[in-house]
This record gives sequence, C-alpha cells and structure tokens, in this order.
Amino acid sequence: MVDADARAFDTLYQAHYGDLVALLHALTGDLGDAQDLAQDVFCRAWQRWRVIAGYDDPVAWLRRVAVNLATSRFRRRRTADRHLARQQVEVVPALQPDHVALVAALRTLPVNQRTAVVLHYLVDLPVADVAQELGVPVGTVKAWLSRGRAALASRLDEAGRTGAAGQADAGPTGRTSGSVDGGRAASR
Amino acid sequence: MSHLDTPKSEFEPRDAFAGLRAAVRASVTPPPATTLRARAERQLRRRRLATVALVAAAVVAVLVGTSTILRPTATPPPPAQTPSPSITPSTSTPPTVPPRPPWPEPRPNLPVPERPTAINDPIAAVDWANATLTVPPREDCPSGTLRFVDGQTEGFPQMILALDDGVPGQRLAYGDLTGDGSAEAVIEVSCLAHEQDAHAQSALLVFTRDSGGALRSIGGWVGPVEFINHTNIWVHDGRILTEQVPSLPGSDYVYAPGTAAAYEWDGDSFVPVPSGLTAVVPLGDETLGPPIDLGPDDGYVARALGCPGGVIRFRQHEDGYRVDRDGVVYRLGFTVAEPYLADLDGDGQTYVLIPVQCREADVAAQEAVSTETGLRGQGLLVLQRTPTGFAALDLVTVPGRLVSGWRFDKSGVLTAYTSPYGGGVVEPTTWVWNGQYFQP
Repeated sequence: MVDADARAFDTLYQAHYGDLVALLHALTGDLGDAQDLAQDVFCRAWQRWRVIAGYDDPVAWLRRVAVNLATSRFRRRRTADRHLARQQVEVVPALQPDHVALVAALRTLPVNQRTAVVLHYLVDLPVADVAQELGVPVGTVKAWLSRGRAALASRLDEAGRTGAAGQADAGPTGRTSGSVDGGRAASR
Repeated sequence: MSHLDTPKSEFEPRDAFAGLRAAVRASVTPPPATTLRARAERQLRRRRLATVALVAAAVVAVLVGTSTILRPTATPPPPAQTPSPSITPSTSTPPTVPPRPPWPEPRPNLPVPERPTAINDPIAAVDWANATLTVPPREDCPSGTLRFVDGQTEGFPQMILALDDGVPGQRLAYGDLTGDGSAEAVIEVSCLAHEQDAHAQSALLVFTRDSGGALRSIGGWVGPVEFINHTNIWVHDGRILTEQVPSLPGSDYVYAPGTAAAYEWDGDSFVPVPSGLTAVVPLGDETLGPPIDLGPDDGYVARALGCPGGVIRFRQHEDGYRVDRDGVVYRLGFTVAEPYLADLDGDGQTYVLIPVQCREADVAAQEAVSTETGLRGQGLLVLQRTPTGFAALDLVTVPGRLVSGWRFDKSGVLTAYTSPYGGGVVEPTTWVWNGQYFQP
C-alpha cells in the first residue's frame, strides 16, 4: 500500500509540479522562490498523503496551500522589500521578455487582485471558484479582476512603449526588471 | 505578437497567462520524487521530536505548577504507516469482482413541483449590497453604522457581505429567529484587515429592520470567527442552521458532511444548540458511519454507480471514507468547500449531496479517478435522512466526466461542475429537482 501511495503521489507530483511553479512564480515574481515553495507544498502533501489521497481533487488542496504560502511569504517580505526597493527582478533565460514583463506587472497589483487574476487567468478557475477559494463574494472577485486586468494592461502598455521588459515599471516598490540573473534560478 | 506589442485595449490576459504557464513548465524540472518524499519524511521526524520535547516540557511545567499553555501543534498527525487490516482486501485471495450492472435507462421527466415562495417581510426586499448596516465591533473589522457599496465597505479594514451571488450554497437566509413575528436576515460576513490580505475570516451576523427601515445587527457575532465558508445558511424552526466548512487547508476547524451548526436566540445572543443533523461518516469513537441504503441491485442508484446495491456503512480508511465489499470499493469523495446539505423541497428539511465512486478493489483511488482504470461509476449521491440513517434517492452523473463541484440554488436547480478523468476543462451541467430525482 505504501508503494501504491508513493506511486500515486509521484504521478501527481510529476504532473503538477510545473503548473504549481507557474502559479507561484506569477504570485511571487521569483522563480527560485516559486520552486522552493512548490517543493514545500508537495512535502506537506506527502506528509498528509493518506488524507489528501482521499480528495477527489487533490490539486485544489495543493493550489490552496500554494496561495497561502505565497501570501504568507509576501507578508513576511513586505518590510524587507522596502529596504530592497531598488533590487531588480530576476529574469530567467527560458522566459521571454513579455513573460518577464507580465510577472513584473503582476507584482504591482495588490495581493488580492493579483491572486484573483492568477487563479482566474493562469489556473483557469471560474470566477465562482476563485471566490470560493478566497472566501469572498463573486462580486468582489469580479471587481478585483476588472481592476487587476486594467492595471496589467496599463503596465504592459507602458512597458511596450518604453521598449521592452527591460524597462518595465514594476510599480510602487520601485522594482524594475531587466537584470539578467538567471544563474540563481537555474541553479535551484 | 507578444502582449508587449499589443495595444492596451487588446490585451488578452488568458493568452498571456497561458504563454507564461507553458514557458515556466518548460523551464523547470522537478527534483526526483524520492528525494522530495525523503525530505518530507525528515521534516516529519524532526517535528515529531519537537512535539515530544514540547509534551515533556508541558509535563514538567504542570508538575512544577507553572501556567504554561501549549497550543496544539498545527501539524496533523503523520499518516498511519500500517493500513487497517480489518478493511484492506487480501492480496492473496482476490475476491471475485461482480460484473458491472447495465447502465440504467433514462428516466422520464416529471412535473417539477412549485417551491415555496420567498418570505413575505419587508426585510426580504432589502438591497443588501448597497445597504447601510449597523454592525458590532470585531478585531480587524470596521464597526458601527457602515455604508456598503456592491456588498463591501470602502477602505480597510473592509467588511464584505457574502451575498448569494454565485458562490455555491445559500449565504443569505430569512426567518423569525426572535419570535417577534418579524423576519430577521442572516448573512455571512467577511473582513479583510489590510489591502494585501487575500483570505478572509468569516462569521455570521443577524440583522433586524426597525419600523423606520434601519437595519442593525442583533446578538453580536454568531458562531466562530474562522477561515470557514458558511456554504449554506438557512432558518428552520426558529433556529439558524449553517454548514461551516474550513476554507483553508490546515485549519483546526473540522467538518463532517451531513452535519450543521445550529444557533438559537436566548433573548440576548445566538447560542449554539444541537442541530440534530447527523453525519454520513463515523464521528468520534465510532468505527462505522450510519447505514446508507443504496436500494436494490437493479435500482437506478446501484446501476448508475456500477456496483451492487444494499446497505453500506462507511468507515475511515487511509484513502478516505470507504466500504470494501465483494471485490469493489465504495468511497466518498470530499471537496474543499461545497455545500453538502441542500433543501431540495424548499421546506427546511435537508438532503445530503456527496460525491461517491465505486471502483474495483485492486485499483488505487487516485488512479481510478485519473485514468478511469477500474472505475465502475461515480457521481453525486443524493441522500435522504431516515430514522436509522440515510436512503440514496439518486446519483447525478455525467458519463466520462468526474463531478468536482456543485451548487444548488433557491430555484431548485442543481449545477454540477465536471471535468474529464485525469483533468481538463471544467464544465457546468444543470438539473432540476422533481421531488424524486434530478432531471435534465
């Protein structure tokens, strides 16, 4: 049974690791952090596998934990970020400039808008499911999506006009993308 | 054309995010699963040691008379390493698997009974989303007389009314709770302390309407303030009944499908009282859940499920609540926050809606729902309470698709969300309750 558990877990892990990293990258803006957090999520899943295996949709559990961890990490880092306002967002060689710009633009959104946008557009969750996951009414999610979408379009428009992701304004923290530092991410 | 070259008005977030997701997927390689599992097990061992140390410290603290208070560890106990021998099928003598019964014939559509009309009280006409409400204080919430626009207050801390606007279940209920002949309204309310908060803790508030039309809460906050979804709220026999389902993993709050919390007015506040609604699974020290009658082998439910009928009783197993019988396994499914209770007839009596699958015993649960291998059938089971347990009335299924979520609205319509086995696009399908079963 333990072998069967491991096989089932490994299948889930191989199938969804990439998607979870993508979700976390969009939420945190840092591919290295995203991979750390994704592994943390799967570790937690294995520790509770006997329970999680009983869920019809264990991926929903993974996603919820991922969003929760990303939010917690964001809170912990807010103070530190103020002192690192000029630090640059890393760019991963495998990602195109428009992907980097999209992630940089996401970082300018308030966390609730960002989370709603990522769950709806990246994870493809219906609005009602996003509302359910975040514990807020559908109307609130719609408002967050509307504001988030407009802000993203505006940021990306600015980034396009200024030339490329390299000069994308990363918002209130003053972060900018464009410093190529793929080694750190690639080494993880 | 990348979205950097796309004019603002043409920015298509779905395409942009699909590209990002594909790029990230292509750029990362997961560490070996064995390495990750070993890491998880090391963490568990360390945590166990830490827990042992804490317990030892607590014993010492009690012995020396200190007032140390230890909170329960946030980590659930590790999974059992040994499967329960009483319920694991023997591998040496594989049982004979009965052939799958033939799929039932489609049933005729019946006249749909009229549901009771909405309550006749001025409070039922309130536009809650844009109301002015007087609310009691609570940490990280605004209080006093608050103006709501689109169901929420301006600024932070922010209060949000979870109105019945698409979220599964009923989150706004009316009924006379105080015995004064007028109806009150029960609403789930959430608060966000800061703009950066993404998850909201929720609780209930009860509002009364005075002769001038002013709306104020009575009885303070009702129930625990927790990361829970009140997936259903209804008023029956002067009591508030609500399903309180944890909204975040790792929550200490536990919910058993079929149960509900109940609150009753004591003249000053709403106090918890027994709801009388039993769970479909064993609780506490029980090893077996209540009897559930699936009907005869050739009945609709058994044939739609693809497994024998009769009475089954679920017990907790390492992969969930299940019944092993005659070479097949019946297993209840759980979702994160769906409403298990539904007032199908609109009379305050609730039925239980819960996913169930039946698979061949030598196939793991996850494999069955991912690949359909050995899966005999699955769907949303409709259970009616009986004096001794439950009777299965219907099984809502969409052939070839897995039921992953559902909602039942006040008009009597059930929407089931399904996806292909192994994952894919989620699609809604609707049915209406005809008093006996759900029909398209």
